[in-house]
Amino acid sequence: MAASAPGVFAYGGRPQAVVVNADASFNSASNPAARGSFVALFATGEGATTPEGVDGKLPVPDKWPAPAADLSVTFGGAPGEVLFKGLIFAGVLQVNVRVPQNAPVGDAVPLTLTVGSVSSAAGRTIALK
Amino acid sequence: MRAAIRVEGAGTKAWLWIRGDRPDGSLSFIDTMQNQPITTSEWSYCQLDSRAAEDSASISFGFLVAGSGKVWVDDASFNVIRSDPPEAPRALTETGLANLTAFARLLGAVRHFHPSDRAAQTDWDAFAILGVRVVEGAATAEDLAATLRSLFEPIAPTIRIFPTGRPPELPSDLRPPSAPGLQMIRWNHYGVGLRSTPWTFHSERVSAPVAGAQAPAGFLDPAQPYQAEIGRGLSAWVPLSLYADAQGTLPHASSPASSDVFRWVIEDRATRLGGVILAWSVVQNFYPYFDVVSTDWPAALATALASAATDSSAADYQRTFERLVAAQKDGHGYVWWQSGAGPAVYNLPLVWDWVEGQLVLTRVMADAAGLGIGDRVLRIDGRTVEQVKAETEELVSGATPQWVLWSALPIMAQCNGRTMQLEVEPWSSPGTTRTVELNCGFYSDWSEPRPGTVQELEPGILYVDLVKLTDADWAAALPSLQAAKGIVFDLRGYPLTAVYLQHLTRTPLLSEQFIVPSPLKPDRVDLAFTTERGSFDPLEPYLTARRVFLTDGRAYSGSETVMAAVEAYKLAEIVGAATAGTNGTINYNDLPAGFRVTFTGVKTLKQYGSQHHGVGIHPTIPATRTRRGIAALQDEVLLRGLEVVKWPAPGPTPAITAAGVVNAANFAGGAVAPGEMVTIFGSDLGPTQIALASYQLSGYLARSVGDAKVFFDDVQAPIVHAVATQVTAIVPYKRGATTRVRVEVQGRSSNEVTSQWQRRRRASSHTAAGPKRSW
Repeated sequence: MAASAPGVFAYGGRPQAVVVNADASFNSASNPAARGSFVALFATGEGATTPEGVDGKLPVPDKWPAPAADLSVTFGGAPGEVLFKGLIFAGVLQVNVRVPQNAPVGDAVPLTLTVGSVSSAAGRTIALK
Repeated sequence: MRAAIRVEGAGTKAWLWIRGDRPDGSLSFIDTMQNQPITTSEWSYCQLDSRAAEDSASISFGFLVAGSGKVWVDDASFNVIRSDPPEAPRALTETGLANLTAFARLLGAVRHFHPSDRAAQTDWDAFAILGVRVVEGAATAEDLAATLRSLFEPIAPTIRIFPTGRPPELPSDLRPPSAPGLQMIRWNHYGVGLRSTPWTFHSERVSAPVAGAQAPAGFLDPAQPYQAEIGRGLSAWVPLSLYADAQGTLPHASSPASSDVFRWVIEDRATRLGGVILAWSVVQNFYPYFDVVSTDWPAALATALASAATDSSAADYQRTFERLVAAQKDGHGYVWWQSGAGPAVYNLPLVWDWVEGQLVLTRVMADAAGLGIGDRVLRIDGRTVEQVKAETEELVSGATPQWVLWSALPIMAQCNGRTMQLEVEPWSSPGTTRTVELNCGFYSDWSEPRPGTVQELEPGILYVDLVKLTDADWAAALPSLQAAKGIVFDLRGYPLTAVYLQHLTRTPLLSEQFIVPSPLKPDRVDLAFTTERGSFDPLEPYLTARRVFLTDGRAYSGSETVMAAVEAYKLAEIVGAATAGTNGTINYNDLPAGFRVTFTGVKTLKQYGSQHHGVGIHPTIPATRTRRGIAALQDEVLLRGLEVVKWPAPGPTPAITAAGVVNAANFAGGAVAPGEMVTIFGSDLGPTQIALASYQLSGYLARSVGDAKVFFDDVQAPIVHAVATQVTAIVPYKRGATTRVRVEVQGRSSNEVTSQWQRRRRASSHTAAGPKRSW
């Protein structure tokens, strides 16, 4: 059993991660997020949470279980500011993060989620402008 | 008439009685307290209020005994009842609310934790109600402090009330005395003993000799009083232990206790406010579930006080209490009139259920002409069923949505008058509506048709209705049960016995953990508990048949003791829906003017220490009813149980492939983490068409979809979807260092993947190699 095994959800068969931009639209190459804005990404494998996770339970609003371990998100290696992290469904972690001004731009900027000492597999991307 | 009574002997009850006789010997009046018998072995005072007829020449009194036990009576007295004119409804001011809140907090601390003789002898109903009358109007914090002192110091001379941050001098009676031979006294609570508390709980003062300056073991130092923050910038010191000599606690009372007796009426505003304070403060100090329920209990007090101040009828006041008790989020939380005191309740001649988001008739009595099973109710007395359901559920106390719903359904069928109008969509005429006027009556059987108590459903498959089963039924059925291939136990309700559990095990089954609060301090500070648990010892014959237990949100309390054992020891498949999430012994709090409120007095944890309250027992195979099934007179949950009890069904054996178990987000291999959504690849892992999970009414994801189940270290996991080639599940929390994974379809188990097994990364065009991880 691992302490964490983070993975970022993506559209089937593509590296583009499932990301919601600040205006509630889905991020894509044709709808990139601006640097300095915040985005929401979705992941799993965050490991233990606070409060303690309950098998299969739909989290209660305002009491979202948050990863117990440190969590960070990078955009092309540039760390973002994490604004929210919490389970919104059983097995589904939402992370709201501000894209740093020094992040690279492009249709497929590498997106990495790290929980504890484990990072998500390479290959997830986000579109930034 | 007032007297202390206790009884001994199982089933023994005692009542006071009083009668008056005219000069000619004829009866002029008679009263008994037959609706409120004394049944406990602890001394408790009971009071019989009678209006003595003026033509009585003599008054006789005594007590009645039922049963073979013994009864003791002591300290009997007669008093003239004071009946003050009731005060009309009037809204609370903000200051008045703050004053009463402070009073409520202090009252709870002194009543239950300050061990002075006078506090222990206090009539707390009278204290609360008379206190309301003087406390509410305090204009300033100084006025409030002075008023509280005048109320509390006669019964608790060593408490101190002071502006927060400006502590007074410690009372000299709290310092170690120089006199020899003193005792120290404190309250000892096992739960809390109240006027009508069942035998399980008790509160009494205990003492120990004082030797030197140190408090005896188990006693808190009187010189370190509990500091309560009571609001309005005031704090209070409440000593939790006191010194005592042969004459009683120190200092001795300066005036005798009042012997006034009162008659409280709901029409009186202070009586209503006092009742709220008495109810709230007991829960504030003794309710064991505030750590797991999400409720703002101080806010609930404010709401209830504001409401009680303006309630203009008994029905209004009942709703005030129902809202207060609903805030406990406690399936054992009820409000009712003490026996015989409340109004008659009529209801409709039907049974309904909330099915597929609709209110559907599941049973129609002969008196309900114009209605049919499967009809959908749209409006009740002109209001939508959604409105009625929401308003009813607001007044129901429950820790889970399923219990709140099951409790609300029969209440929704209660009539306001003698008739009720329903607008329905008949099952036989979809899209049309019909309005029916129904006569209300006393229909007490809120249940749907089921097979006989013990009935053979198919050759070798027996059905047992645990809601009706008696020990005698069970004994009579044992020979056929012993020969059965499968048994379907129906626990959609409350059982009469649990003897069957003892025939489903070869080793003793531990019960859930029942943890009784034993607080030494108010407000649940440093709350200590005493743990108790029982066991179900095996009995012969052991039943080898495959078993299924049917259950749902109607299964509460004692039902959940049974279902928790079934779950913990994997005695059977559990088919249906989650249970109520409410277990533990109930306690009663009788309030002035005839209301009784209840709460769970014991905290229950599952066999292995996990939370029960608000969780309940979840099905291994979820099953619910449909309107179509109801209209066809099918019990679909029972049919599902009948299907499952015959598993393993014939079919291909599921297999997890070498590609194995991967993170569902990126298909990366490696060790799994708690709570991780993983996809398991293989063959015959589910149905040919994808089956998607959904959240149940309980708020939990189903643990079986498309007849597929996934186990991590033998713990059944929530499932997201299942199809023949893959199943996605969520790794349970709290697994061990190793993780064995297997899939089961209709009872057929796959190969098992163990921690030694090295998963290979799934070849995928959209995942790149990540950091190498191993098990």
